Amino acid sequence: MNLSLLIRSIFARLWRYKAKTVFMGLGVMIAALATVLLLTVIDSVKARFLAFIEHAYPSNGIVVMGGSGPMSGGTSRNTIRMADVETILGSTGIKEWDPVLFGGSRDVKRAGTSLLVNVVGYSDQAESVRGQSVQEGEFLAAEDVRNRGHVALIGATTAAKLFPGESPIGAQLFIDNVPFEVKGVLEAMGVDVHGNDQDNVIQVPYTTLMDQMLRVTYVSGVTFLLDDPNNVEATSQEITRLLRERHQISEGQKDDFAVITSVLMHRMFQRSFRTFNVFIPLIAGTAFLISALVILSIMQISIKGRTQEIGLRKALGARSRDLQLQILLEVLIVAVLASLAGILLAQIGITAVAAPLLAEKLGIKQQNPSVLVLIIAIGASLATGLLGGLLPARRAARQQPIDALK
Amino acid sequence: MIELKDLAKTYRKANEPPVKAIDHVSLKIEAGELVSILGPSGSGKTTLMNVMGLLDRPDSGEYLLDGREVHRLSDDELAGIRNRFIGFVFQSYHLLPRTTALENVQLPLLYANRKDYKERSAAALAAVGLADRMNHFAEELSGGQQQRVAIARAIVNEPSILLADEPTGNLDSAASGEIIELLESLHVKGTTVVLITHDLDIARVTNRIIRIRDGAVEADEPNVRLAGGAQ
Repeated sequence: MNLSLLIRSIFARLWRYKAKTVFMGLGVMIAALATVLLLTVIDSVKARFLAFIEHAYPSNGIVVMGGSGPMSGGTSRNTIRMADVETILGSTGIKEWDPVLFGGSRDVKRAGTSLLVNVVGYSDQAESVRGQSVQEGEFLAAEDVRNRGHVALIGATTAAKLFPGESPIGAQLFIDNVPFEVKGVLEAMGVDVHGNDQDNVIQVPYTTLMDQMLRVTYVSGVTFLLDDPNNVEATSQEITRLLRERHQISEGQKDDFAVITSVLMHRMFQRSFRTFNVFIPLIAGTAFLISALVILSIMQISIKGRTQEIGLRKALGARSRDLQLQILLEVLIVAVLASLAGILLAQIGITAVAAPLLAEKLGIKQQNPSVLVLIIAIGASLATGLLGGLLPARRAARQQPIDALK
Repeated sequence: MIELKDLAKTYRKANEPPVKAIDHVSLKIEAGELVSILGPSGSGKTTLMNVMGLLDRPDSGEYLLDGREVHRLSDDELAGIRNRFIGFVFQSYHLLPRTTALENVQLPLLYANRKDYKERSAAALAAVGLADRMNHFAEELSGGQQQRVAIARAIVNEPSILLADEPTGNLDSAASGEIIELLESLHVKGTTVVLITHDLDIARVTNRIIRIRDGAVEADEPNVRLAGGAQ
């Protein structure tokens, strides 16, 4: 068997029967397109969530939130008092920490312009604990927190809306009619994983927000940073014990707070993506299966129509396995070409549609298909070709030369 | 070269009497002969050619091809022998459509695994006078040209036997003459040529005529050729 001559003749045939070739490959192309598109978009979404988790929940961090956690429903979220925080600091010896107090949407005014802006209280430690920074001006200072200073850091969107075309540093604005001086403009963050603009925000010292504006004694949560990530598990258990004791929660009752670690977040993340891990293979598998059936039926009809050709080839010396190989190669070449076309279309779709859409709506930087995704798509296409081509190939191989030449 | 011993093949169909297509035939064809098998349609001559060409199996009897008991071989072994030793020319040419003359001629070489397939196939087409039609599709050629492509395909692997089943059946007399001349020239070069026909005029160009009727050999005699100086 002359393999190079065989492959040349197969390509010539596929080219001469273009319509049939295209029709046969269409299913595989669509299946490969859908698979690459879905897997790559999911990969990008995953990467975005992971980046968010790694940013908000570093491996040496412990986040304590009021209420029974980030997914808590009706329970009160305002359970963490500053006295709790001080007890934790005293008992665990943690030095780096930063509280957060959500002030909600507030009426913000500046020289005739009025805006609803999310107001959040942090300490000066947000810079080191949360990795925040300013692109212009200065970050909050320790004395701003200590003195309940009326200073504010504003997000990029807020800055653009309230101070179009001018520097806001040193300017005055009013939050609920309380005057604040703009100290800095925060580094732009883009939209969060839920599609909200994270740059339409005003950050003030949490002490100012707590004591002078909201007049409360609690914070929404605290992020603690440990020196050694290995102590996170033990320390988070200690924090849980301390808070349950201080909140007088008896055994069997649920916590009225949540202690969240990086490990916990990763676990939650894996759980929430489990659905995708089941459904994407299911959808892609179905698409490939249908393609295999399309190939199977087209090839069965084709083999029937090629009785003469197959008989002739046998008469001229083709053995059963030569014909089997020829038919299988025909299908596999179409399948691989179709999957390559599908991948190309997916890449175009990602660049032209998915990437701009995801960047705009979810702040996701769309990645290109990974090598693994490409291997999966091509591998599935090959498997589809085998599935659809094996039966027709055997049928062709079984034919007797005499039946074909009658 | 070809030796058939008491060969028989019967076709049986439901609700029809069995047809003895080959009825205990014994005959010998020596290497280099130019033989015709002559018989009316339905006489079993095509079945005989199919069995001789290893395209079909007899029900009983022995077939020795170049001394080998080929009736005992497997399908794939038979395919190998057809490829190397036997060239076929059919009445309806059996060329692949939407395939060039050259590619048609290359078909046997595909299964022979020859590295020099390009040179060989071009040479075979040149030998039948179609060097300038190599890249034409089969259906773009005239009947006579198509049959010449089929002959080029039959000889491309240099077989020792050429079986031609009514090779001129679909051709006008001019084209028929060309085909017969080609077959004669192959015989001159040493190929064993077996011509199956119902036409006595065609059979007369061969050196020996085997007459078949109802699946049996009716007569087998040398022929004094009317034309041509071969032999």
